[in-house]
Amino acid sequence: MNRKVLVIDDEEAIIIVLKASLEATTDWQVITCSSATKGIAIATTERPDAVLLDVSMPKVDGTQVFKALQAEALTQNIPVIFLTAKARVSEQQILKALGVSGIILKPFSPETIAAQIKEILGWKD
Amino acid sequence: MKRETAEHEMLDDCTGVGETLFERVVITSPLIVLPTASVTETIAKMHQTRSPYAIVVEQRPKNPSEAENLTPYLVGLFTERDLVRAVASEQSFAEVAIATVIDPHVPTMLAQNITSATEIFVCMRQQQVRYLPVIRANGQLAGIITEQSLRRSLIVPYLLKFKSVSEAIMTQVMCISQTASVIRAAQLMASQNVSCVIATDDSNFPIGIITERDIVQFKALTLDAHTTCIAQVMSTPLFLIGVQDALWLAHQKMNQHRVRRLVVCTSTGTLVGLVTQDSILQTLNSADSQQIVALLQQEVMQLHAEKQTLLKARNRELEQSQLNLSHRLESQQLEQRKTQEQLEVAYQALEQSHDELSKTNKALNNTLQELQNAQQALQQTNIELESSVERRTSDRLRAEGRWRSLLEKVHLVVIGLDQAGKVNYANPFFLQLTGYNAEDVLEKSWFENFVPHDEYEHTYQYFQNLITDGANVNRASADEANANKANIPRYQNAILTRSGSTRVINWNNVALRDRTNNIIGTISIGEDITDRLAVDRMKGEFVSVVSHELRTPLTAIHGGLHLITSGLVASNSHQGKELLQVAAENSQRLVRLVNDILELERLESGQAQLNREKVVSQQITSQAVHTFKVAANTHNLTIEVSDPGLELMADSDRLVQVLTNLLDNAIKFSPENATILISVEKTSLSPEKGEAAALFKVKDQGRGIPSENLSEIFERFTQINYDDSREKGGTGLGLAICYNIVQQYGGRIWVKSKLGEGSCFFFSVPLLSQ
Repeated sequence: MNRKVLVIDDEEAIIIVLKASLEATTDWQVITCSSATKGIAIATTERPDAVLLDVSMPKVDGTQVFKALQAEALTQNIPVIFLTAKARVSEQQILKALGVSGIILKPFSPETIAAQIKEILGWKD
Repeated sequence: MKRETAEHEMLDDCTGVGETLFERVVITSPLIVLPTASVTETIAKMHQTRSPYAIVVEQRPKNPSEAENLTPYLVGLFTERDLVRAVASEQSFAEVAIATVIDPHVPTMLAQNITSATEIFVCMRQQQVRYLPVIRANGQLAGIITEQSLRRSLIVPYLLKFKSVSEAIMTQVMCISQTASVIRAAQLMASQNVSCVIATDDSNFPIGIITERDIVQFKALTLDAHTTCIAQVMSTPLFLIGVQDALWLAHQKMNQHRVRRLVVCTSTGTLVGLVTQDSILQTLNSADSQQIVALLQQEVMQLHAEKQTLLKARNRELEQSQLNLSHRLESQQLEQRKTQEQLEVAYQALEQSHDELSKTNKALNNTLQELQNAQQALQQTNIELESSVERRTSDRLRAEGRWRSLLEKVHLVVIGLDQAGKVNYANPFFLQLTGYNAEDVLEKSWFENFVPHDEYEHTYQYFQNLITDGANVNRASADEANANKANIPRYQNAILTRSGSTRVINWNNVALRDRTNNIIGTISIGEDITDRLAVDRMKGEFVSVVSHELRTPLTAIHGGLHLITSGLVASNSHQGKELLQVAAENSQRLVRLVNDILELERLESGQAQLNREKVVSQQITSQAVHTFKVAANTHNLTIEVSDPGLELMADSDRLVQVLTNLLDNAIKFSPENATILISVEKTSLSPEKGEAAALFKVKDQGRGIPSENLSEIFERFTQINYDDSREKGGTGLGLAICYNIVQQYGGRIWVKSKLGEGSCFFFSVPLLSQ
């Protein structure tokens, strides 16, 4: 099944590596965006199957993007996975409490990150 | 005899109200004697009853069937005058039956004919009698009318008040010397047909009177009429009245002295005449008198009617009043009964209490004796105890002194609270830490005044638990108490200082007890951990930021290289080359970051040594400008330097590092063709110290820094625009490193900036040239 995944991260390097990792291991269509506000607009128009969302971003951070997606009827059912470098357990608990589908820590493994996403979202294919 | 009422209406009613004429005029209980009675017995009865007559009657049954119920029937009448005549004729009839000496033809009047007093009077005048027996239709004696009874019934007070004695006087009066015999007087009275004679003295002044009644009395005493002189039996003194006196006075005197006549004298005592009942009655026997009587009767009847009305009204009032009084009396009686019952109950209780008190009193006396014994023993014990207490007090005071000294000097907060949570002790360190005076704190509620509002509830609850648990311990066994002591309660909360800021204190709390182990409050000793917590928090934040800053480039390096080395992406493909470029750039970023972190750590830990040596400021400025010459040219920037060449004792590498960091920022944020100005001048470190210093300035024409960010610009990982770190390649640690280096020199670093116009960074370091 040809899935569509939206990656939102202000770090251009992370976008390049993540896109390369997913495209090398799956047949998903990977859309990327380095701006939070633009990412919300793309999610509304493209209606991806999942959003991989960086937490620490300037101006509008990942939690605000997630809330914006939840508040919009067209995007509120799109599962969101946080990508974060926040390693402390307390920080992760706060993020989980927001209601996202899952959290993936940086640095991630390029070979297994797709499997990680599938497991979180319950995707069989 | 019964009184007649039915057939006699009140016609001539002048003296009594409600009485019939019959009842007023007729004497219904006259003196009666049987025909067989002797004259002597009759006279004696007349004398005893002072009756001027005796009616001789025959007692017969009214009906043959009622033989025992006898009623009187008139036989005849014996009067005083009959007796006087007998005496005058000197007849001897002492033992003769009365029936033989009386005249059986006595004028009478039928009871049913008694309708007018005046008619009766006229009748008596016509018959020339003074006594008129009254007979019922069946012949039965009903009573007798006398001149006296008639006068009383006829007398109209008002009328008599208008008439004088002169109108009723009888001037033909028989006089006799006081020395004359009684027989002579009786003969004179009988011959002249008068009822009395006046006794005179030698000067003919009246001194007494002999009446028919006196003759009756004389005969009753059976005295000798020939030898007894008048002076011995006459009535004295004389009851006198004046000629001009009112007949009403004469009438009253007659009633008062119970006489039938009055002697009329002048003011000099000369006899003028007599006033008798008969003469008074005669004055009333005229037409005008009757008219007056009739008018007066009307007035009397009207007054009587008014009186009746008033009496009825008054009666009604009295009845109502009586009814009210009865109700009140009943109510009072009811209350009285209740009160009496209560009193009886109270009295019983009192008696019972008295008994109990007596018993108690005995018991108390016994107890008192025991107490006195015990008191003696206690006095002895007290002496011993006082000695012991004195020793222990001295020891305790020394111990208290040591403790107080410790509490006053220790660098820990010590707070004592009473059971209500009010402060009763605060040590000097607390006052110093919070800025309060002792009077600001003592007797104030700890939780309301010194604990932040959001921490009030749980700290107060904790205090309550401590007090309550302590109370439980007080009741619990000694083992439990010891176990509780072993577990010293700890607690952590913020307190408010006088300035409104907060300090976090880590407390050890203990419940305080009195001698009987009752909890009287708490004592809390606390450590101020505010700074420690701040450091911990900063460490946490630093680790978090460093973690993010390290992991991001590490992810790019790790991911990119792993995709190539694992063969997922071919290294010579476009994507492979792009991944290698990403890995290389992020490796440099990681190196810079690690270097800055290590440098900062070295500076903050004091491990970085300053190699002070003589250096001229121009060496520092020129080295920094040289480093950025290429970069400045690339962006068409001009760097101008104004440096007089100050000598300083400094580590030139460190000052170059500071200046380079500031110049790097200025180049990064300056637009094309802008000018950057570097200047050095001599200044004093501060106005107070007056220490000479070198002041370095780096002024750019960049976009400027918002004023709200100026205070945090020298903190770690602070970048005004997050994108700057991406675009300008900064780590967010450069200014923090500058701050630490200048601080190590004992200098200052600051910035002035205006949005859209540019920023100017300053730092000063002491010259230390001497």
